[in-house]
Amino acid sequence: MSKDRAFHRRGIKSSYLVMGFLSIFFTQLLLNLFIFGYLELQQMGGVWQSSFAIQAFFREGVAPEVVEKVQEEVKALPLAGEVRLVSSEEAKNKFLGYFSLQEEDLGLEENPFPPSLEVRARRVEELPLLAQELEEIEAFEEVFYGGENTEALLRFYRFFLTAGGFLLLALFVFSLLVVTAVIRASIQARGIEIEVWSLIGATKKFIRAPFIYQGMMEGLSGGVAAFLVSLVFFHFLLDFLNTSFPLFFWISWEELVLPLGVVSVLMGSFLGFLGALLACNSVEEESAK
Amino acid sequence: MEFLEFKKVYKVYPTGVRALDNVNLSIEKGEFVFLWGATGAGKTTLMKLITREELPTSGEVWLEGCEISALEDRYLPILRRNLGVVFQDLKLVPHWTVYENLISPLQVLGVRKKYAHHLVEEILDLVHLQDKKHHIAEWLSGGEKQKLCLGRALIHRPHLVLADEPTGNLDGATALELVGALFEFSKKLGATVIIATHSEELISQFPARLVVLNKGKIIQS
Repeated sequence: MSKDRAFHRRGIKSSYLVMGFLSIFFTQLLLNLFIFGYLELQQMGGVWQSSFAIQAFFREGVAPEVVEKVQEEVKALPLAGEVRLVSSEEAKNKFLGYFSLQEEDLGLEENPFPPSLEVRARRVEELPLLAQELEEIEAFEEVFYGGENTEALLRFYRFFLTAGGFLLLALFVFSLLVVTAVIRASIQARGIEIEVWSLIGATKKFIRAPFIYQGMMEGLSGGVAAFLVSLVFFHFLLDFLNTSFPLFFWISWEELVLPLGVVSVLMGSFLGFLGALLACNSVEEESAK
Repeated sequence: MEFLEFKKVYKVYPTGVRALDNVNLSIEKGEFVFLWGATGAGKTTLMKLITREELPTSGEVWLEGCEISALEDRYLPILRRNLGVVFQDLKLVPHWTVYENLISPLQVLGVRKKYAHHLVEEILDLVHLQDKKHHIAEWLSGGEKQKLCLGRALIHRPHLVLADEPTGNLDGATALELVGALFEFSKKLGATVIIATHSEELISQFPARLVVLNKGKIIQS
């Protein structure tokens, strides 16, 4: 009977270890999914950035030195990325080319197309803000960018980033709570050990050390396991996506390895460490009461 | 300066029980002392004041020139590392092996593994548990557990050994063997040993100082 109890106690200890490991493993898996989504959006953002530009048209009859001055002014804006001057001549040629016309077909003596600036934002989600800034410049008659479709895409992009940020925070808090609860239960299950250590003169640091170590090891192993599983999962997922939707801009598997590895290992260990520390504090506070 | 001194010590528990009543007691270095009294006389409380598991309601407890009753909590580990205690309820970790239980005070002290292992072997011989070295503590008999607890109390060669009813559940021969081991330890290393007991038979077997407690008061010292 007593042999059974001894094995049972060791069994309890192992089950707490497994619970701690699994809680970090699963939260890290979710976190890795988010990282994939985030990196994918970054990738798409990069593509959007090259597809969508703001077209800012100068007022009629604007002097060439003013155009040059405004171009420099726009380049200096913090949100502005690439700035290109589209001359009246280039605009006219573009128009003719687009509608397959000849210059004679227009029947105009003067070139009616105003010069304009083609401006790209540093970050695609800042396109509307940059457009607003350009509208405030006197020399521009009109400022255009992508229209409703672009705005819808940008709204989705911003929504994903905001929602993702909250999700990330929620995941962090959730896993922290789980790890803390698991290690706290593990500490309480080892109450007799802690009491004995304390009675034979162990310091707080000495008593805490194995629990902190346990937390970090659970975190690290959970993180590494989640990293490996994620790598295999994303390998197959990206293979499937690239085959099924070859024209879409998918991130490459190789690009995922480093961010997933770093986040999994660091976040896993940090979560385990923090969870164990909080659990130790909580048990000590409780026993002090 | 006395090795251990109780000065006008009172201890009243929150329940209103008066465990110690104006205890004044001095013990010299190297003394072998039996603390005798019936159940509830205050023996365990007296021991707990030395290990600082309890604080006196009033009065002072001094050990080697240090007022341990006024010691800050952060210094408790230092005090306890210098004591060897055989607890009344043993306080063994049941799922640890005999070896693990024995080596624990040495781990706290940071003794090197090799030397710690050597000390464990020595103490296993002293308490006759060599053949149980890798047994789980919970598998041991009552007497073996008492021996293990004694071994753990002596392994780091403390200056002061406290044994609270160490022979409580033992037969006469095993009890004598155990207290004999403590007596030898005291003689060999000059350690002070205080044994709380209610066994008159045991007291008569050893040339030791007798302190008698009755209802929290020292009536013979």
